[in-house]
Amino acid sequence: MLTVRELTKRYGDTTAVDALTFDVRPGRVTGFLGPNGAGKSTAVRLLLGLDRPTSGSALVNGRRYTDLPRPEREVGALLDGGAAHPGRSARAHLLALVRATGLPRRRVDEVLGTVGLTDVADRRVGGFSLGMRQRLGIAAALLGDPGVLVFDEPVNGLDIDGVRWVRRLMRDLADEGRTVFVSSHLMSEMQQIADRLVVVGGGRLVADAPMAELIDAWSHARTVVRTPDPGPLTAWLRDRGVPGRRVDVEQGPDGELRIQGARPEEVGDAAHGAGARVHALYREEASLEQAYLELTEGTARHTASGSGGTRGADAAPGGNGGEKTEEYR
Amino acid sequence: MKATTTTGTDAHTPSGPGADSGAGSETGHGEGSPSALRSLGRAVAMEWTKAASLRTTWWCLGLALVAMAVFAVLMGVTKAQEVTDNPDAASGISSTMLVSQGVFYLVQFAVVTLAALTATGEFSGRGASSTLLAVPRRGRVLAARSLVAAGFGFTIGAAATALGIGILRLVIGGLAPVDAGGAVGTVLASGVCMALFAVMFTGIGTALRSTAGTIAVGFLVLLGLPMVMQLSGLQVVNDLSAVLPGPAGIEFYALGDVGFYTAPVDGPINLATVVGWTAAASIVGAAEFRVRDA
Repeated sequence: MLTVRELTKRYGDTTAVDALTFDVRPGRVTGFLGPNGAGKSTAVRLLLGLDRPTSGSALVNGRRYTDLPRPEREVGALLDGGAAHPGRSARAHLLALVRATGLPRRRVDEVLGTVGLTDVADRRVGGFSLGMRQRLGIAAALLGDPGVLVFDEPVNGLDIDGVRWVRRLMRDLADEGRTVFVSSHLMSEMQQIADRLVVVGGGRLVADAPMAELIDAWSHARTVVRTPDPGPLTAWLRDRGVPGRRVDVEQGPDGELRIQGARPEEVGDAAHGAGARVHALYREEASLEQAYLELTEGTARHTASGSGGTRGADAAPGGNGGEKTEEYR
Repeated sequence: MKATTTTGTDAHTPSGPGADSGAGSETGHGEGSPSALRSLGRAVAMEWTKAASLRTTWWCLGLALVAMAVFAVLMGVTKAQEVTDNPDAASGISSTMLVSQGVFYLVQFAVVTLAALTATGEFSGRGASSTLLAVPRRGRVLAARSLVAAGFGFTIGAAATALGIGILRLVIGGLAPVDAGGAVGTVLASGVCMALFAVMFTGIGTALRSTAGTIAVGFLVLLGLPMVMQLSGLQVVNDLSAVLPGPAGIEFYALGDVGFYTAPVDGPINLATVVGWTAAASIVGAAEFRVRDA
């Protein structure tokens, strides 16, 4: 269980983490999503007592990390690539950690086996691939068999097999009742892994909700129509619309209209009614990735730009705009 | 809140099934927190494991011994030549003096380098986070690191000095006889002084977090600065150089027989001077380590 309250970290004038408040509960995988530079790693380092918060608190099982009597048995963490000295062997790296914590020595071989590094245990970490280093970092996190696991960008540098393995590992750890907190900058990755999402942008909390709820809220579909007669169609849709629903019409480039709240067939009927010629008519789904990027990067832009105008970028490649959203899991 | 099951990741491990069964629950979740001394012992074990598993550690040790060996042979041959040219020169030859100069000019910089690497090595590669996750108390990490560095410092100082004395005995044993008591004294004294220097530069390295910077400070404080101060015509400045750790150290481990001017002070005061510098560096290192983000 992780408890973050009003957590803030400033470096001079920059606020890396801005009054973050959220909980991470056991038994599920909680994703920590945000673009690069959103303050994810800083928040994780604050949580683990590596950096000091400017204000607020971040607690592990109700205590600050530095106050835990046996931190290795309560929390395991993977931080930027495992952070092992390149001149040391994987085994020596883990052995040093085991000695520091008084864990039994056999844990070294056990976790090496778990992550599949037994064969290269005596090779120096400097010669490891990024993926092997990630595995070593995960091995270190598992040493104390902790109830809370924090992974900072665990799939970075992993090949497909490695990515699948990490997903399975996190799922199993959560199913065993552990608290699993995983950061990533990729929504698509989070969709595969997380049950719940904590989303940050610019150091601030953007969302804290179950995955399914965010998918519902974010995957907005809209109808795009290209017509040489935008005026009459817009007027028709505004005046009559679709019964029982709010219809928003946004003017795009080249006589394109983007319509929210009406399905293509309804827009087609409206065009027929309005006597507007239709050159193209299709349904477009904004991907989750896009929705999340707009939410996190464009907090300022969103509130400033209001309607229309600058949002054109998200439908840029002609009619192909908006990928189909991937199915969940 | 805590999972009591095992790590149980067996079904999907690349190493095959059952790799991890039953491990976690036996690792003593029920134990209370260990005593401070025990925790320090564990932190020392960690630092020792880390230092011993790096080649550079052993390179520093080897380099110190090789440097001393070369220095002793060179000095021995030189002195022998001097005596051949002028038999009266024989009376001024002292093994203790020659060996202590070898420590002063060469060996102590191997110690500085080793301490600098131990103290700063983890800050460049983010390794500090894995250490601090295992041992979150920073004072404990620094104390453990200092103790391990002191062990290496003592070993390097004592071993190099003993080696130097042995070589000089082989080369010019007839000209400069060494009494056993003096030999043991200087071996132990240079061990102690190198241990203190190792602790001092572990502290400085922790404060600076830069390997090159720490080594540069080492050259400056131990050799450069005192030499420049002694170049000055002012006797006050010249004498003041004796309070720097380099000259105070050699005065201590050469047992007063330095062979060049250090200062008008003799005896245990020099050890006290080195201890003072070491304490100051440790305090600065500890304060910096405690306050600054890892």
